[in-house]
Amino acid sequence: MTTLEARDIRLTLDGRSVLDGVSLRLRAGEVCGLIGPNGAGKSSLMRILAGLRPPDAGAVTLDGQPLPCPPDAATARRLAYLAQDRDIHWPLTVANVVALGRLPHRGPFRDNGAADRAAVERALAAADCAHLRDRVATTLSGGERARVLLARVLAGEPDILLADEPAASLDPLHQVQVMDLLRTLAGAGAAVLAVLHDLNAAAGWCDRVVMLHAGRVAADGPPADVLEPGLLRTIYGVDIARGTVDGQPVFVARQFP
Amino acid sequence: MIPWFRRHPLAVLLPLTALLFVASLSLGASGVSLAGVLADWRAHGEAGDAGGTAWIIFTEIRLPRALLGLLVGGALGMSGAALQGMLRNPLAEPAVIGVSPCAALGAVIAFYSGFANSLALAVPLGGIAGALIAVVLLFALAGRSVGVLTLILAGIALSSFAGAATSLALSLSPNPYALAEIVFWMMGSLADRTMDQVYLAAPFIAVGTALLLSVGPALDALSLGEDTAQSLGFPVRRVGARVVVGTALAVGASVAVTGAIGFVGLVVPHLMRPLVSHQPRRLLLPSFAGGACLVLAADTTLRLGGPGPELKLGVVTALLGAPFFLGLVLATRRILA
Repeated sequence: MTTLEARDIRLTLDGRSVLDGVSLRLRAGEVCGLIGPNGAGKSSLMRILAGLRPPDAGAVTLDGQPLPCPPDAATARRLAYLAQDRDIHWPLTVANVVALGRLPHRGPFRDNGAADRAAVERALAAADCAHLRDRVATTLSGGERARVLLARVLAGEPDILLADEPAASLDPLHQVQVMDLLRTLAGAGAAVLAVLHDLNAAAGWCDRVVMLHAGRVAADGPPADVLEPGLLRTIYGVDIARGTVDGQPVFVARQFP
Repeated sequence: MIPWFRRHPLAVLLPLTALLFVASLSLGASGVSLAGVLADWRAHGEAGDAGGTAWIIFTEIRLPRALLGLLVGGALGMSGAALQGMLRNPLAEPAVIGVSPCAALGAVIAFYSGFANSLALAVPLGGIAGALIAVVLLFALAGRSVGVLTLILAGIALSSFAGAATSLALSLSPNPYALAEIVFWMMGSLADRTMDQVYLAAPFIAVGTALLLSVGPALDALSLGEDTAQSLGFPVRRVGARVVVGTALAVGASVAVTGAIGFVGLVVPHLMRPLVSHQPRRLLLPSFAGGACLVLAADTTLRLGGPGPELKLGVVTALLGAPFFLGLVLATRRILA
């Protein structure tokens, strides 16, 4: 059973406390949404969970073992990280970008084998970008590029997916598809942690929501408990009304009257 | 573009390199042909002596020249490709991280101090020492963070310093003949090199290119940025260190034996990139072959000029490379427009 756990993480950048004692346990089979206002420390926490930077204090463990930082190849095969930054530096084709997700799975001087190519095809299909396969990735729209980079992560077939704003800049159809995809991954046994700004997506697709505020966990639990208007108002500093459409909660932000 | 050429660019580049290598061996001021060399070798082989004029011209003059063209061009081309991939900057070339200017400074100091008169290999050894000192200084300047920007800034600082120190050495030179010799050396040339210089440079170039090849997959991963590369299991700091040390060994040894040959490291990766669908790992070997082709072609061309003062190689690579590069810029502009 895959478990990624962070205990009492502290991080200070330029004298400013970014994370102040964050603990979080991510389990296999769940989609966990990480929400919070800008500057709450979400991306810093994601980078620490991915082993991209060490915390000043505290520890990250993967199945009880300390997470190597930077990650080794064995860790990279299990844990995938989707960066918020969507730069692609060379005019690579979409198929070649997605194939980068197979890098930890193959020898250094081998090209992708049959198993790798099959995984790339599955990922392209899952992220709805099979038709973009031969396009140059740098010429795609923002939303298309986001899906291609998500396909790159899926190609690695990870046990744990840490996705920093996977649904940002997607149109409604693709936003729904991406959230469905995260659910499918979790259904197949993966642990998924996604930074989300859309509270409707958090309520509709997550098993659990962790709310980060000023470097601390303000709430951690089922969406119905965490996405509570009083708490949302305190954290976001804006009035957020909650209603229901066909039994599904919807959130509307508005200025204080 | 023919599709199979895209799939197997080396299938064209390797025969082209071989062709240019043979051309470099067959052409020269003496007019000795390869057939003449072969005949000479047979005749003297039977007689059991060291060989006649044609054989000596071949082994002592043309062979080191062609081998150095191959190795130095390849080293410059591949280093440029690796640096551009690592720094994700299409303007990167060995001079950007200060390696070639420092190697040139090391060689000039060897000239200047007079070691060059007492020890034949003083100049190349000085160049290699300069390149290695550049790496040490680069890591000292860039510190623990081998971030792209820090590395480029530290490299530019080193380049400027080495350039200024070289100018200082030149302006203080007491002897106009020494001055002319240094200036000509700095323009880069494969003329009058011996097998000793091949033996000196080849091991450094071999180790350097092996280091650069070893980071190929990491360069691919870096096309999606440092965080993503790191998350794919490629420690970015170690990759950066390998590219810098690999470049220092390969290019340092090259500059040390041939002087500064500009433009190859910058232009060759750009010429090769469309052939490999812009994939940084697949760019490395074609850039070696392409660099070797450009330097061999340039060196052979300048020898066709006949007797009289020879054009300098660094000048010819720039003259040959610039139009290609310009064409590429125009083609890219049309695509982007």
